[in-house]
Amino acid sequence: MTTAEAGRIQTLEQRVKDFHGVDLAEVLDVIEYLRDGEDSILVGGSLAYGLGNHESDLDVVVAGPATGESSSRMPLEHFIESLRVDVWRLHQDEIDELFERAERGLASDAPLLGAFGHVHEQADLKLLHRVAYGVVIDGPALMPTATGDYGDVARRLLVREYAERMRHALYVAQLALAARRPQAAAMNARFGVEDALQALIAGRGLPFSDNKWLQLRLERDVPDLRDVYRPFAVLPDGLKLTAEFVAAAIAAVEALTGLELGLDALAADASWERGDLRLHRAGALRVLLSEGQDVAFELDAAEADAWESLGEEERWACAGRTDAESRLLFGLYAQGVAGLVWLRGLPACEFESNEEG
Amino acid sequence: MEAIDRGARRFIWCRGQAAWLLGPPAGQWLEDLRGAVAAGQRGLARHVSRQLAEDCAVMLALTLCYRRPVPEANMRGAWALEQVADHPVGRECWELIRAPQELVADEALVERCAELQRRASEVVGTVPNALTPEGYFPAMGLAREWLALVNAVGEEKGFLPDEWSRGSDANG
Repeated sequence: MTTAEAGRIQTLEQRVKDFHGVDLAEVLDVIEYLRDGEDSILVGGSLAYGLGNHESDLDVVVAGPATGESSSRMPLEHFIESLRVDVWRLHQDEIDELFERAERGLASDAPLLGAFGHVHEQADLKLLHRVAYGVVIDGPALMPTATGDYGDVARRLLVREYAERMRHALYVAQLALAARRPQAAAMNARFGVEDALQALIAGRGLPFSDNKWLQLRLERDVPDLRDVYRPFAVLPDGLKLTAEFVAAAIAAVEALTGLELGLDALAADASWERGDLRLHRAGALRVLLSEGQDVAFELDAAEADAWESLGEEERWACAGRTDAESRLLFGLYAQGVAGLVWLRGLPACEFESNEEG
Repeated sequence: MEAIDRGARRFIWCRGQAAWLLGPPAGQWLEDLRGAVAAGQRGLARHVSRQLAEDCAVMLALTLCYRRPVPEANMRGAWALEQVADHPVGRECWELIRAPQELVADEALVERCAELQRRASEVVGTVPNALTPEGYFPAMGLAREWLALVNAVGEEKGFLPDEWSRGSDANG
């Protein structure tokens, strides 16, 4: 064990002791029943990354080449005094398959967005980072058997995922503004700035810590980016202020990344997805029906014309749509029945060009 | 006995989604908020209060308006707020989502968010907090009951998060 590794264990131990009065030895005792042979015990999550507080739980991965049947995606919860210990038990093959999938995704031009979890379900992203950046408190360090360095794969994946989220959010912000939906526009503009900052932070080699720790990270670890976020921390009220807010968000992220993020530039890579929507007529009634979602929309004559002008394809390019078509499609997307998808991913080399320069 | 004046499938889907949001996610946000306030972590407090408010807005939209589906993560907060804009809890949700500068990490913010959750639970019903020793097994039991209910009306996807149910035959 290196001095640095010993120092990380000591720091983690002290934080767990300070917050919960629990020793790591007690944690190891409690989860011993999940361990096979020389399984590695890794601790990830906020406490391991120098974040967290007295309400933070301890995220533990028990893994190795001899680990028996893996646990479910749902962690096994344990309670020691006030400390909740969430444990995932995984055979190393399963971890290496996840890293292989990440490497394949990074090598592909296809978009990654959401492939490793969306904003509300980030299990795979978190697992990649627990393995790559976690503190090994017992057993040998896990070494990749099928991919490059765990840390490098996890870092590049996170940069790309958040860069693609940023692109998506800023596009939606502009579409929402055009549709005169200020709340959706403002919320997505802020998402876009936050996602861009997360991607830049990940690019600097800091482990994934979820958006909830973003502001602390900015204050403590990346103060040069702190002032970028400040104008976007509070959402505006009303259409005029929101228009200025969205424009400022796009300008700020363009300055950070060197990317073109205006409506036309982004539309070139985006498509609308029909899903199972079909137009039905009964006399004067025009109904757009999604049988799978158990939902129907009554269209007026102009909306029905706009729908029919789209044709029978399953996807429609966002670029080149008439105003009526775009308004209808955004309305359906905002209701959750039409999809907004990307034709290509956003490789880290494009996103990070300005940061590196 | 009270007849439910909407389709059984829609009623159960919407109520199940709302109940699940009130359970672990809202419980987690309040837990995070208390930790943030105790540690003086203002950024964390502002973030989690806004997340809790978004979840509460979605819960209200589901249980008051019975709209489905819920749009993707980027749009669901705005989708919910548009539906509950005139509801007093809806207005409070928007204020917390905006996160004005005067929101600071103090006990008043904890009380404000706990009150929001209480008011949401008056509409949605109570759900045990799976993040506590006493709530863990009751929450799992309740999850099983909801899963059986959504399956009974032929819903392919229940209210459990994908990452919890991936690989489960029962939940597709």
